[in-house]
Amino acid sequence: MKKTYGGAWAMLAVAALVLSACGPGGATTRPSGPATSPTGTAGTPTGPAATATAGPGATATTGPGATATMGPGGSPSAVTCPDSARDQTIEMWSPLTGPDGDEMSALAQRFSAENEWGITVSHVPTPDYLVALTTAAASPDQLPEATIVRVINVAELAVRNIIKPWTDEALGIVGDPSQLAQLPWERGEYNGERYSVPFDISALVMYYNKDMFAAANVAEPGTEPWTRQEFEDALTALDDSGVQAISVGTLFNSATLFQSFIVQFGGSVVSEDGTTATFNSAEGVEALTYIKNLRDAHGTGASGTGDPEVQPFTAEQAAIVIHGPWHISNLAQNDFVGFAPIPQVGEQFAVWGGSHQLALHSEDPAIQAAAGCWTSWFLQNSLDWAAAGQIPAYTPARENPELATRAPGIAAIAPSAGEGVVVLPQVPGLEGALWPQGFEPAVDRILLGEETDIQAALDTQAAASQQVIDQNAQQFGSGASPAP
Amino acid sequence: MTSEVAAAKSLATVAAVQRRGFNIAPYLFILPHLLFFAAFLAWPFFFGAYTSLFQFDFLRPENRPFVGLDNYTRLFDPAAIQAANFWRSMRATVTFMIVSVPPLVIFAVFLAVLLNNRFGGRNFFRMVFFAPYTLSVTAAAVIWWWLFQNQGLVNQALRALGLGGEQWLSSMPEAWIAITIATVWWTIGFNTVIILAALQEIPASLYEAAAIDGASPARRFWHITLPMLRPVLVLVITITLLASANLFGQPYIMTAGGPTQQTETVIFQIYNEGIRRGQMGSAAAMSIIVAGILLVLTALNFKFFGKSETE
Repeated sequence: MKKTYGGAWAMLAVAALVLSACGPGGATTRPSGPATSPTGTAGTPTGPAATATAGPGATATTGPGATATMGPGGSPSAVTCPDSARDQTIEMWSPLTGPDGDEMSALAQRFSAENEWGITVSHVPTPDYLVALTTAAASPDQLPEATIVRVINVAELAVRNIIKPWTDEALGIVGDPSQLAQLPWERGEYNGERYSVPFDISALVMYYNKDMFAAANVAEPGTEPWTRQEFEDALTALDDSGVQAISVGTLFNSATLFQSFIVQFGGSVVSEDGTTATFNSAEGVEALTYIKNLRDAHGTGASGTGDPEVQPFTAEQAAIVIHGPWHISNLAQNDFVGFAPIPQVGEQFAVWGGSHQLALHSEDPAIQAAAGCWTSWFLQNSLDWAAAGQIPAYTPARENPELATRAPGIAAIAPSAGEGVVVLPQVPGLEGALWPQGFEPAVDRILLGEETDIQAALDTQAAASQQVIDQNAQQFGSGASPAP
Repeated sequence: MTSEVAAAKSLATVAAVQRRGFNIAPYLFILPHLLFFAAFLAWPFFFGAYTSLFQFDFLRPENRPFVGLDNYTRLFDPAAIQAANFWRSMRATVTFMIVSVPPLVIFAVFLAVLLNNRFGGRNFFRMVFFAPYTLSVTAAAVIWWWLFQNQGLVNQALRALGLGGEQWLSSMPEAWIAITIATVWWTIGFNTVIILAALQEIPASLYEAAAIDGASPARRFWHITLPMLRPVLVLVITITLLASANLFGQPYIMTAGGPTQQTETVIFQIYNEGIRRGQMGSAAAMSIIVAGILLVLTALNFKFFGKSETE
């Protein structure tokens, strides 16, 4: 018996090693999309061969958007680069792990093939990109040259020394900032430095089922947001026609609705300077009450991770779902799907949004210049990016009539989102303080029926949120960038 | 002759040295493990303890104030958000340990006894039950995330049986049931193999003697198999308790900690605090407390369940 016991200890040692390597607590990655990019730098022509400009794709962008005044030449192939940018290689990470990531890789490849300076950009979609950047920054020479960041992460990445400011020279190559959507451009600044340049705007989309609308005699919405009356009449008519009018889920879905509606009702989730959680206001209660009623009156109550609320819509069981623009490319494959801005249920229009922006890890002037060239080219080819499901940050592309044919879903939401998009102030860690530590648990507890007192639920979470905001301010300095 | 004497003398000297003083051989034998232990356990542990005394962001060495025991006291201050998060996640972890350890041990014993019988295809089934363990947590969790979707196969099967579907991953206690099922499916092969190995060491003569005395199979199981398995069961229970306390990947992928943070386990919380929020000091303090609790738990387990073999 004694012998077995000793053996057991030996096995424990082995088991501990095995478990530490692959036990239930082992390392994980999110199950979202492809982990690596197929793009490589191999086969990218450099030197004289690359000076043959205008591949087949380039001619597609010579509409008004492309001929605007970003580059002196006024056409996509006329981006001007300084000699210093010649033959630079840029590895660019991004959180774009879905179909939009493939599109970004294709654009990077096209730029690498087309540009006359031998600049190579290779795109690497990176799941959980913040954690990847953080760990890469901890060791020397692990960071790429550039990353497409979510605008909400800019302050945190800047304060933790992960991204570096753009130089004036590189910004000069990008062009005139007045050609870019104003709020996303402003949000790329932190502590007086320019840390990122917007590529696009993401905003919620109201996806609707054309067939169900027709069957219920509901007129399809246009690019103007529905009024509250139009929205509620449509829901009633759809309900009466025997289908589920709208699918409302939890987590991201309910949190983005809350963040949109609270602003529509005249409130905000946080003060202008990002230092005070304000989502337990009367407008917050009104917004959450509205979402709760939407879900209870019309939904079957999908909830959980992985956007389960989209599933009833895809399966043609629900007539409406309000969700992120990254579902456009999948849903657009169904003829029954229509796209519209989210309804305006309060006194002003507002919609949750974000923005993908190019941030740099390198201070090397040559790399910065090359990044400027790439950005300039990218903005002028924004219509291709719109087709992947994002609203161009580049205003001439956003206002280009070709948008309606190239990306109908984006064309439907671009006019309203250009003005009404809600992006949190640029404060380190603010999204974490407001979402997982803030209103998200309160919203979900109410929607799931675990709590019924909306004011109390929001109050509790606002107090928790405020603690995190204060701790962040203490940790990162209260240097909230001046919010516009 | 003289050489034999010399040899005998030198042997005696060696023996004397060994008796009296230092012999490097045993240390050389443990050296490889000691190196790994020092590099991957001891050093991280002490560095973690050191980290827990600072407001520590590894990317901002210029801003790393010493805060003493603040990171610890905050975990015991009921008004602090860290305390609320930490103890809620602790409760979640204990819940999972309570629901997952019994099936992981009991089913493993059951499976091992079955697989210990002689029947055709025995090796095939041994492989089948062990196979899921070779998957990564991501693969296992994604499979079950997919199966437990609202429109997933589990609900489709239930509806076909007229049982209605559940919101498996977003309601309580269904989320724990789903995570437990995924974990049992994934890791039970490991426990089974250990117990199977122990079963094969039980002398057949004990069973033969019992059979001659007319003991039923159930009595033989209770009075021979289980007592003989006890030392290994202590080990298996300990390993399973520790593994369950380290739950992270399954809720991270299947529920994202939901519904409303109720499946956010303590490791999940440490990850959020340290990696997501960049509060490594606070996260290290949480880790140290968890490590202490697990050490005590392991000691108690061996004290109470490992005892009777000396009786």
